[in-house]
Amino acid sequence: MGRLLTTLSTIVAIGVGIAMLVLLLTGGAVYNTISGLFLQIAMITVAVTILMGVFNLIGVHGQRILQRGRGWAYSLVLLATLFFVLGIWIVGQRETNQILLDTVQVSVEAALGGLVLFALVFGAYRLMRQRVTLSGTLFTLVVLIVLIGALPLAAVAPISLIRDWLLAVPVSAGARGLLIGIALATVVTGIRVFIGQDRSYRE
Amino acid sequence: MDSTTQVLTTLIILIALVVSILASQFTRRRRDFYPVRDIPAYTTAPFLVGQAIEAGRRVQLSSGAATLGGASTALALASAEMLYQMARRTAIGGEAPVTTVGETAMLPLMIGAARRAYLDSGRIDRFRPSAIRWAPSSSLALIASLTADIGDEKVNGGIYLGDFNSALALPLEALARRRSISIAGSTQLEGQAVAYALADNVLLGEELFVAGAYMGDSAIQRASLITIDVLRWLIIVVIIGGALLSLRVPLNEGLARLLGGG
Repeated sequence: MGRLLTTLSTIVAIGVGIAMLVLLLTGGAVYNTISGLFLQIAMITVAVTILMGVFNLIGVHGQRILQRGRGWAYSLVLLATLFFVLGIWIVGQRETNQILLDTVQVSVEAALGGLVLFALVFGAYRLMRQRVTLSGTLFTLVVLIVLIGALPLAAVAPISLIRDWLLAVPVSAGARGLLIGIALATVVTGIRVFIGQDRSYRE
Repeated sequence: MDSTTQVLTTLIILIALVVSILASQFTRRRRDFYPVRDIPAYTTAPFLVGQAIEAGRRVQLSSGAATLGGASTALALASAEMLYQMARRTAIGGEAPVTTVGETAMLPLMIGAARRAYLDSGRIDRFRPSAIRWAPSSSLALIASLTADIGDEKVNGGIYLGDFNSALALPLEALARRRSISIAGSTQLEGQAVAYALADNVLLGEELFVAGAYMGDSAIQRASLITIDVLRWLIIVVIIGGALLSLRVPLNEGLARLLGGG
């Protein structure tokens, strides 16, 4: 039975893949209609997985509370908040929900976002402290030039020119190189799925 | 899609398809047919698992905002492959990697990958789906969850392979403070830059997608690696050829001016 299901899912995946690829390359209104249909099916599936996510959240944190695992008090706060927000949404208090979002979530996220700066500064310091390599030195030097070059001062105008050149030429070339690599690997992974050779088909 | 893009897309897909099929035939017959270059991150990953098993701790893994059904589908599959490889190793004696996904659509994929790893290792009785958890990536909840889990779940090291922004700095910094090993790579440039500065081992560009070829024994995964290399060389030739062609006219004019005095 398991083997039959695997074969069936492989046939469906390859069939849909070939059909979509041919339609994408030939273009036209048929592509829009069929891709719209598949998108709708995908949206329904995603909606089901959101329910899975909520149950997963309750399961993981519920287990931590029951087992008195490390940080169980935070899990308790999380679950209490989840049920509280769900409760006020059910009774129709949409404004309260919005107030909670604006005052609690946005503030907490802003505070956490602020910490990213310190983590980055620590990263640059750590990079130079642990391994003074050519690439590490170059990295720190470029960071300094870009930061100083961004200052709105006439005295740093020559550095601003270097900064502009750095962003337009080496940074742009490096970014494109990385993105081309990612695009190629994406195509090859797609081909592997396309010919039914991906590991996700093996069960 | 205009006709030039259509032709180029078809050409790239056809080349990738033909090279993949040919390369898989060769790699099936001889595993060492194509020597792969060393990627330190994939040498460190099995070491990280061994260290975690010895210390009775866990490895943390995350795919960031990568998900099925969008542009990051291939990345989602690559993350699942990484989880499979790590879970196969931990199934023997350790605890399953604490895996946090940023999108709910990733839950069935990752649970399936971990389950398959335990099944293939003959230790399905040890499989716990609760090791795979969700924290929304649309807010900073995912990053907060990763950072908190480093302390709460006794994490020995972290592997962040997916779609991350600059906030990746927080879990990487938390790992660095505990002197734990980190491996990171992101398809977002901001995340990639942070990974370069903060992670012990960084994965760049296409390296994110080849965990199966380096850590597994599948011929098709090694064939994928060959295909990526062939396509990359083709693109390099096309870029250099295009640059030379575009230089031809000004060079000819310059030469004519020099020789003819015009």
